[in-house]
Amino acid sequence: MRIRISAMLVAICLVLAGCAYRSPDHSGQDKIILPEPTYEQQDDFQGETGDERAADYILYYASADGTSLNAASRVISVGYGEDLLRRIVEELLEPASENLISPAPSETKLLSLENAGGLVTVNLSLEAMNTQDEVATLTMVAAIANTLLPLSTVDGVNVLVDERQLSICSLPIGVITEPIGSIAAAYAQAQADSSRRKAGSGVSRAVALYFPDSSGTWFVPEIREISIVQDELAKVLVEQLQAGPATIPCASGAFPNDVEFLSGTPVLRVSNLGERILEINLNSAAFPEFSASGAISWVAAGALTLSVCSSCPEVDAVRICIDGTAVKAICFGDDSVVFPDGFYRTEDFRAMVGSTCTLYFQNDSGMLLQVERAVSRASAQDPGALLRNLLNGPIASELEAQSPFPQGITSRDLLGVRLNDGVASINLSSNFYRLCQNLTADEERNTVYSMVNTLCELPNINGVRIYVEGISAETLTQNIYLRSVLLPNLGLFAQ
Amino acid sequence: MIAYLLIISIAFSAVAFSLIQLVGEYLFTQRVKDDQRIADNLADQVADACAGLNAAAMYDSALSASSEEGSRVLILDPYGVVQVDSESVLNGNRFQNRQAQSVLNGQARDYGFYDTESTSGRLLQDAFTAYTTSGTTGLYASAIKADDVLLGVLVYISNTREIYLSLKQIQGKTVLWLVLVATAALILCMFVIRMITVPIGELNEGISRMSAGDLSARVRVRGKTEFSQLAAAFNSMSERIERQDKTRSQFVSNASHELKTPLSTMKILMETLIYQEPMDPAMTKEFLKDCNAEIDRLNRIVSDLLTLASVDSGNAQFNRQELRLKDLILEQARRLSPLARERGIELECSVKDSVEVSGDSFKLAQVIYNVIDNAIKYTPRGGSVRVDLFRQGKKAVIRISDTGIGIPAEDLPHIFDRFYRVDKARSRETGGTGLGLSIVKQIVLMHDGDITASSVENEGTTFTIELPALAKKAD
Repeated sequence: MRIRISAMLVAICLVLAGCAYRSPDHSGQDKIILPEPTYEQQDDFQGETGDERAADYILYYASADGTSLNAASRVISVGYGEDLLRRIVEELLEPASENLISPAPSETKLLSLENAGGLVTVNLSLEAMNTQDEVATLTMVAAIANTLLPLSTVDGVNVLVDERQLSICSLPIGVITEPIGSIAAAYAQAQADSSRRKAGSGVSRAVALYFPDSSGTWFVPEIREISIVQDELAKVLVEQLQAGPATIPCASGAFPNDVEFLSGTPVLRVSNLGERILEINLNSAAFPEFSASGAISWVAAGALTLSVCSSCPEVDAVRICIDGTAVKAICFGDDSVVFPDGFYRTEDFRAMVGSTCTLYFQNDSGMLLQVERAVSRASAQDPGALLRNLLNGPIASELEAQSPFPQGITSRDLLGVRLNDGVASINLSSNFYRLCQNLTADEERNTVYSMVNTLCELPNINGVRIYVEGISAETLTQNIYLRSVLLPNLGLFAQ
Repeated sequence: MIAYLLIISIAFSAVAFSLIQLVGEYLFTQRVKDDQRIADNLADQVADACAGLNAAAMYDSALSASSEEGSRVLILDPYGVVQVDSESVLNGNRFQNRQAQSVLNGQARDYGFYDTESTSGRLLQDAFTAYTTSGTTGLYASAIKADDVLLGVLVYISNTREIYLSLKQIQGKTVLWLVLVATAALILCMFVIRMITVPIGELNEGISRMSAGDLSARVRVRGKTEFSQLAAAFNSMSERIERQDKTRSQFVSNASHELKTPLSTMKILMETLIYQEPMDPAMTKEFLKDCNAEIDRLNRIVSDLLTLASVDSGNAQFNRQELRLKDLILEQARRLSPLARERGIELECSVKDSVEVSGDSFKLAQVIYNVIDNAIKYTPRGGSVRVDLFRQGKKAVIRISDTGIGIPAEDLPHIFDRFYRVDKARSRETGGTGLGLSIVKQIVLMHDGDITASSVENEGTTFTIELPALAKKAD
């Protein structure tokens, strides 16, 4: 009995010993030391500066026979403030190398290049009309489109000559949204489209429609596929304008859509000076202000003019009539501008064409809110301007969002912005720093990443560094480390 | 039984624990390898995006890699700052972590386990605790490099809950099997106990009872196992012992009686002679003759008892030699002829074969003499006694038959018992002690032979003695 009990006790002890074995628990109480950045921690820069950037781009030149395209890699250097797209098109039109053939006729100049909301409108001089034939014209347009479309900020390319839309086989080329692979195939398609249209079938084209933004300050273009039946392009354009914007959140409709808008079919006339004028007759019920003031809003006139002139081939201007009476004045708020001949041209409204930018404010739930806003084309590419928009409190309210910055911070707290090798450095004031000291971890995160995410929306900015009075502070409040380049936080925001 | 159950339970618990630990370690090791591989592959995948500060590409990679429940991916820059977080919480924070520190200081990879779901929880060095705790997360750090330049650290965080749940399942099944097997072992033990120890106990009890004097103790015989054979043997032994004891008791009783009888007779005769008025000298002589006869009888009884005792104990002198039975028989017949003549009985010997045996001539002579003597004594006048000797196979057969009074059938099985007399009065008259046939049988058995008797009342009795014969010698 005793032996039995002893054996059991030994067995129990062995099992318990096995259970009890544990290696010692190392709680890792030693302090963890991470590497520190070795680059300059003090740089009191003011204003906006940037470095010259050079990069390889693929440009499409014409072949020897002018019926196809040759791709060539070119290094394009762009200084701070310079427009990369403009530099590229200039290089395309006047190649530096003798081996490369410009796709445009000689002496063709770039009159203007407008990058608004992803739509690049390239306006060439009249010399561009001196192409040999329609195939050469198509080659020229394809070269410019194929060169610009691969760039991240370009959604569509609209090539105009002296502010006029080009046509192939009596159809507008329209906005190019996809690279053209084969010129011959594209021309054959255009011929087929022309035949179909003559037969009464609809033909699809991408056009640019210009809508006012919600603040009523800018026009922002929207690229839209429409179907053209016979010669009713203008009518379709007007109908599409009345339908309102579809893909631009910050844009609003130009016209009321609850009344009959167009009265009759637009008619193309030639003025005494040989200008081709598209006369559009509108319904007075859509413009009640006309009967009182004799003028219509600039929004309506501008939307119609910009949309029609950029889409209808060889239209120089628009004449707007209401119930047969020409409209010769447009109103800007309380002011009005008179157009004696009643002709509205693209150049009258070009300065009002803006672009959209993405700003990161804050919503009620404390998350960052991604908001689109229409700004000037220059501002849309300017990091300083974007930050000033961000720091401007009323803009947040206007966009129905909350400012992610503490009360008291204004655009004056932005001392400088510098671009260098894809990194934007921001110099903020000590006031900014002081006002951020009581932020919680979430608030600190929103404050920092509203700026970082906003700036990183620009194609030439990948990351952001933050200085305070030129000094690289360790953190803004407690958590976000400012001595390193910060990349955007892509999961932090709601749309 | 409880001890068996306890030992079985402890043994199974030890095996189960070892098994769970081994399986757990294997699962854990495999999981570590898999997760580390994921971290390494992801680090390679995001290297280009990291070099180009492409946050969108890194974020997409992080999201797809963290699609498994409980997983999380962080991408740190060379200063330990979180640039990409699949959960978008730690961006901009410095990741104060030992594994990240190791990689930032030059190691290619490192991993550790934490006992909370937060990566800032307590670091565990003990892998066993790591995968046996529900809330443990594994953290794998891998260097992001391009052209041997450290661009950052990829941190892959995975939950070990899967291993924990698998182990829990294995644990549950093992415990269930433990209980089932222990129960089966217990039932088997009970069955074995019943089969082995119960019979042994019963046997032990029987032996104890016998040792205490209860010679009627018997053991129940179950089945056909060795235990049943042992029980049967015990029962047979105890029967023999009981029978022998009874026989011995009876023998002692009989011996006492036989010894006491002549003594009583002598005492009566002596007391008569002593206390009676002087008797006729002839009467006195008669009495003295009777006393003498009783003394002779007593003497014979004692002598026979001694003979039996020496035969029983195996100490009797046994002079084995080659004998010719014919000579023995004729010798004894010659010695008994006068008695036969006196009684008017015809004594006839017939020797068919001259058979030789190996034995004690004196004792065999005693056997033949006693049997012929009995035949003569129990055959009335005018009867006959015949002695035949012949070989039957390998045996020498001596058949002594008479035409005497015979032996009743109920007495026949007992005639070789000690002091057994069919007719006590007659036996006493003839001077028998009741031991003669017992001595005969013992002597025959000593010679590896056998003696049997057959009889018909009032017709006669035949005694057949069989002895092993020696091989015939060639003439």
